[in-house]
Amino acid sequence: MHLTFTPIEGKSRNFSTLEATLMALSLVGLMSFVISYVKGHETLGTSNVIPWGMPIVITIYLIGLSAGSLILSSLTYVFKKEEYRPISRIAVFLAIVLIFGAMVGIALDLGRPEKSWRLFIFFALNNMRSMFAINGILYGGYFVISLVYLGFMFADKPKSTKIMAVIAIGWAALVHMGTGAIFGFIAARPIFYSPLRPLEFLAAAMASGLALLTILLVLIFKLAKRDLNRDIILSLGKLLLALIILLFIFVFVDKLTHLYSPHREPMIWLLTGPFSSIFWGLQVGCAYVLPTILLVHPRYNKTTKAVIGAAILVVIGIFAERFVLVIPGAAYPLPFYPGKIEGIWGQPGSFPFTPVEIFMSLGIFALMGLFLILGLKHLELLPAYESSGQKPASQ
Amino acid sequence: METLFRPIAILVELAILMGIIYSLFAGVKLAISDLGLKEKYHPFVKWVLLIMGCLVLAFFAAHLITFYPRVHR
Amino acid sequence: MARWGMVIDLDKCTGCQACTIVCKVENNVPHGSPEEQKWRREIYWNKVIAVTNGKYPRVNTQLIPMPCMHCDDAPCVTVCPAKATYRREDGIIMQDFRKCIGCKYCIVACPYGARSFNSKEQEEKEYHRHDLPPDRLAWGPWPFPSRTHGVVEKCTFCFHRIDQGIKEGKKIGEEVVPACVEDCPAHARFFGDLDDTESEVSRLLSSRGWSRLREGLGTKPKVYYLSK
Repeated sequence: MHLTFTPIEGKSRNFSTLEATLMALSLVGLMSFVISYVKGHETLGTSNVIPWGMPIVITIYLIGLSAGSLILSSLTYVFKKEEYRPISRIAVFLAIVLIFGAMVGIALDLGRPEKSWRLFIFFALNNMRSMFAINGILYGGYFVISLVYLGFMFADKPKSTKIMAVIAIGWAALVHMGTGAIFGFIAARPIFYSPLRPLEFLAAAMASGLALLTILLVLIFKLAKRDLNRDIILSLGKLLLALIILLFIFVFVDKLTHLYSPHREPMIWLLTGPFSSIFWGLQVGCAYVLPTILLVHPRYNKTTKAVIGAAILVVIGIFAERFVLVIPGAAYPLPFYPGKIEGIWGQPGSFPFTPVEIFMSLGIFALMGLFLILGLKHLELLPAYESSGQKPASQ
Repeated sequence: METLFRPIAILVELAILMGIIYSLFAGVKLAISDLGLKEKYHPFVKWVLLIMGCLVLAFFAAHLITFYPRVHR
Repeated sequence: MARWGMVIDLDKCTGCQACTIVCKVENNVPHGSPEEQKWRREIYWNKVIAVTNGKYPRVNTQLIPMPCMHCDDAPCVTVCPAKATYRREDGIIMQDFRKCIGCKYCIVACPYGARSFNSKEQEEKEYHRHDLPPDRLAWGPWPFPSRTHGVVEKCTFCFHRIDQGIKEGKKIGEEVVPACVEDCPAHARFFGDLDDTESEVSRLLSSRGWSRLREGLGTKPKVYYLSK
């Protein structure tokens, strides 16, 4: 059985509708960006108390997905786990598309994106002490490394691919730990501040990246009418369980530490305040508890449906985890002086959902979806086994 | 007449900028194909550059609308 | 080199907010609508907070004016990716609006909430000084706090007054002070060189009990509060 990769035909009605919808959504997203740029960021939900809104939540989520996806696909080459080799190309391509989406997301949220070239004049015009600047370097390097990695894969150079895989794993880990450090090193915001933040982000990245990879695999194979090896899905499920447990340990330790003074009040507000329903329901419920039940329960854990269900829950739950970090972390009123601060300065911030922000966020996802389906159509990403007589069903 | 000057000027500048971007991206595509990228990848590169061009167009339009100088009396 | 700092006497502050208003007039900061006030989108370079402690009827109210603290170890300077915020030699934390990319990391990092995001172009009518748009031909920070939208702004200790005063040879801290210090009706605010033993601020700090905000974070703010 010889493994090759083929593109999808992409001539069906479904494909064209999907392409057109994604293009339309991307255009709407771009127009929303133009509106937010011209009218100012008051059209977004951000304010001086919650300066980072949905675009940043989405950006850190996408970076996590990208880094996780890349680390897991590189397992094929580094640890010689042959069963993941079929998904390797799609995983790397997905990682590239996701990091591109993340960089677009950051650019859309900047007040003056045209000046961001300064971040790439290292040491002279950028501030190397700033985690934001260091992350800029990491993301740029990550994008280039992923492109080179995919290039070697297409050119069928196994030795170079292996070297790139090792570099990619290390760099991807640094990328998302760097993203975590952006939040973790801010002492002013008690909910953000923690040395565990880089590790928590890395664990979340791997869990969500793996979950997304699983879902996409199943979806693409279903839409392209090919059969997927059941064993791959089950083994991915086992790996997902391990990663969820690891992530849960990090989050639990972090929250527990903050329940002791001096960060006690903000953490209690997070756990019992206005955002608590999202925390308990979506983050803890969807990302940790329910997937674990699905993957451990003896009746379910041998079915692919359970793995897919767990993956979907993890993808939603970890998005909620990013949201619950950024928004309440910023919304909690800064404790300038001991006592009760009167008026608006003592109130937690609120985060309204504005249409401009919603459409801009949808636009980022639509743009990535567009790149993904274009890649599937024009590049050889999907695995096919030659001698088993499996041909892509014409659509 | 006065109020029409700015939108027309913005459109002209946008056209010039998109001409430059088109030349740049076409040059990138030619360079890539000259450097030996296989023929089968060319449609993908074309699509990617097209989408990037749209992003750049949207950004330039936003920037010019906001910051193109107004004529003060 | 001088190290400019501010001393605010909480015993004299009445919470009248004159410093907030006059700062806005001096530095061309818009007032903002009640809607913006509610959503915390309004720009405040100087704010006055009221902190209460205790139970009625034994409530202790502290009125605390908060400009930018111009910390000696400022977290905003550490986190700015484009070096748009930097510590000048004389201790003022400057904001170079030309370099600022509007990423808002400094708003997240500031422990005192001193920074605001500017989402409006200065020529619009909410601004007071239409005659002072940013001078885009000049390099470096503009001599008067002018800025375009999409950048983060904060109190500058009226550096334009200080620089002009130094050029004219006037005494900073006595003849030339920031607008909030000059126009406080209760004379509760003082400005001067913290390293100069003869300045008023040094005299006050050596003779009265003082404190700074969020001391535990190690930011070394240069705005000192004299206790009641």
